[in-house]
Amino acid sequence: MTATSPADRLRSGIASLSAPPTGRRGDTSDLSVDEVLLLHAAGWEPAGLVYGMSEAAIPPGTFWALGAGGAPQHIGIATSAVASAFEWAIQKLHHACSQEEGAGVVGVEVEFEMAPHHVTVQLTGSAIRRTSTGSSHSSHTSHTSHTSRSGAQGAGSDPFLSDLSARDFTLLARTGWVPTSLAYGMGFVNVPRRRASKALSQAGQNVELEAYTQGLYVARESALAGLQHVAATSGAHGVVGVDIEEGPLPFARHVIGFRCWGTAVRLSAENHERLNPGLVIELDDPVVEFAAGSLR
Amino acid sequence: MSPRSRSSDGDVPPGESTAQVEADVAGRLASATFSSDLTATQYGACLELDMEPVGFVQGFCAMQFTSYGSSYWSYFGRGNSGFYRQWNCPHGFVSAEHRAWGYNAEMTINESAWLQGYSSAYNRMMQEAQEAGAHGVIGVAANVRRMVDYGVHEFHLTGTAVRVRGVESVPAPFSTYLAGQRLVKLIDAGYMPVQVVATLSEIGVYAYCLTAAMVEGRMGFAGSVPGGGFGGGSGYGGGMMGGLGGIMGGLAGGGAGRMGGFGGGFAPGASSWGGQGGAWSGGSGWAGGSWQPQEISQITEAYMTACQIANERIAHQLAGDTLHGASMSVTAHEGAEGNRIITCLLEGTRVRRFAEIEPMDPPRPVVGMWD
Repeated sequence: MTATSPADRLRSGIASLSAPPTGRRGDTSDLSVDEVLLLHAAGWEPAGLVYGMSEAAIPPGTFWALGAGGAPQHIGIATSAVASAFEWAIQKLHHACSQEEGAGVVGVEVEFEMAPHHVTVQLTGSAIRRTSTGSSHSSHTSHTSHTSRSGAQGAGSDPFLSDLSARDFTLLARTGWVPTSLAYGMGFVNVPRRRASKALSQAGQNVELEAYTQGLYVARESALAGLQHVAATSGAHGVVGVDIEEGPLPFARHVIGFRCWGTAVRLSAENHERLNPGLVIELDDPVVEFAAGSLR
Repeated sequence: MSPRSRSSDGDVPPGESTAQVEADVAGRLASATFSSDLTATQYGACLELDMEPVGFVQGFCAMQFTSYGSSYWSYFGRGNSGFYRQWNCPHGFVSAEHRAWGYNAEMTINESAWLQGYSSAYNRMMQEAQEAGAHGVIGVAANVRRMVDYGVHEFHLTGTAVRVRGVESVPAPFSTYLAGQRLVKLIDAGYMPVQVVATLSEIGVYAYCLTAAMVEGRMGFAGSVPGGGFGGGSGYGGGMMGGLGGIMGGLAGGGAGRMGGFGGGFAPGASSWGGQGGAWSGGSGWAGGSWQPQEISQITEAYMTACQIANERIAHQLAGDTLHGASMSVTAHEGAEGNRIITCLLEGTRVRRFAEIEPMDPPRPVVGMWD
């Protein structure tokens, strides 16, 4: 990367330790060295570690189930509470990013915890901003100029959010795509118990529990519809890196929950630009391992 | 006297055995051979930087944390000079058990105990390195765990002390969590490690009535929560009746067989829960027969404040430098009645930019061809 040797760079660095501190407010970031270098190559730099969270209440009785039989039913209150917690946490992350004068946040880590009466959403990531030069020193300047024109990253609009790593972010930028927001979707479905007569008639049989299967589909559809709605609202063309969590809630086994989130992206260039990756073959010899146990 | 033999209360005076340990450490670090926790590849990177390992250095501190005891949730007058905010119940006097007020307060006693334990262990590790003539400590690892008894924590920091060929002296040895190629790349990018930094902030939540009601799910049912919720009543009795009214209304108009589907079963009425921060406040909750999502503002404030305090402390320690590779961990310990202790631990390596970054060409994407 540099003409001088690493050892000479280190000696220059040690010499800089004698300088008095500037007294300015320092920047923070949870990015790795590689990520920082990749961002710089694309014309970005870390601005600060940002955090946003929200805890929303879920009213008592939301997950109660009385009676038996019938079709799975959507629990709108739970979906609404969880979606609101996400939205409020995102708003706080936007605010924190703006305070750091960041254009967006990458590597957002989502922590999601649900209890019978409340749901907690925590978001942590690194805000990034344009370097002072504002563009990369590479042949990919055209790509980064595309990103700076995108509404989600321009001045005066909400910062973009992405749970992609800085590496994936720069890779997307090179292909002409930019993140717009963190998209999320939720679905909670109450699966009614089987009637006693039906449970008895199915006892000892290999039988599909259709209500549960249907519940999974209903919850899935609600969550993915919500996810795509959030993405569309942010002007995205799609969502990448979708993480899903699904299954019965630990405190209400008759309720199927489906939660998903990912990064909404849109094409900011006129056309998708191909990476044209090269093919490589490793020439390393395999490591010969010696297992002492084989001597017994 | 070295911190390793320092005694604050005189119970363990530096004796012969302590002096012997001091001599042993000095002899080991001055010997021709070195010890290190670096891997072979990290050692290779070390040599690339003209670094020579001096020795494997440690700092320990066994720290007893004081207990808040019975006054845990009302510890005014115990020297709490940190963040404090009171949350007042909007209902007036309801009963002796009613949480008429609550607060979010910084647990400064725990914070200072943690800081003392961490700083002592760090300073002892660095002094060991300095006494061995090292210019820095790389590959620092910090570990805090419970030991011996409840409330006693062991702070343990380790790292490899290194000397740099061609450097006479340094103002103070540098330290970093990094080692190996990551350290080489960091320096090559124009950042010099200054020191590892860490801080802990802690906020105790003593829940007031609305927070307790929402976290515990007692909305409209328990006597500690006044009316206005489900049934549109008011006051203590209204709360009970509101809750019962909601249930009966739900059963009457139900069919869905669960509370979430009661919808029209709840009697419309303006909510009287105009709590601070908007928790179940007017026009929301179940008022008007439709439910609106509500944020538990007191809890949210506690989380945000804990992180803000940690961030501000670290920014102050940075003095204009940058925190690299930060790790922020937020944990919560839930107590009864909505009470909670929220802890934020933030750590990383303080680095100084000594050269302008020369952006590299974007790496060429490759696809591996595997079997």
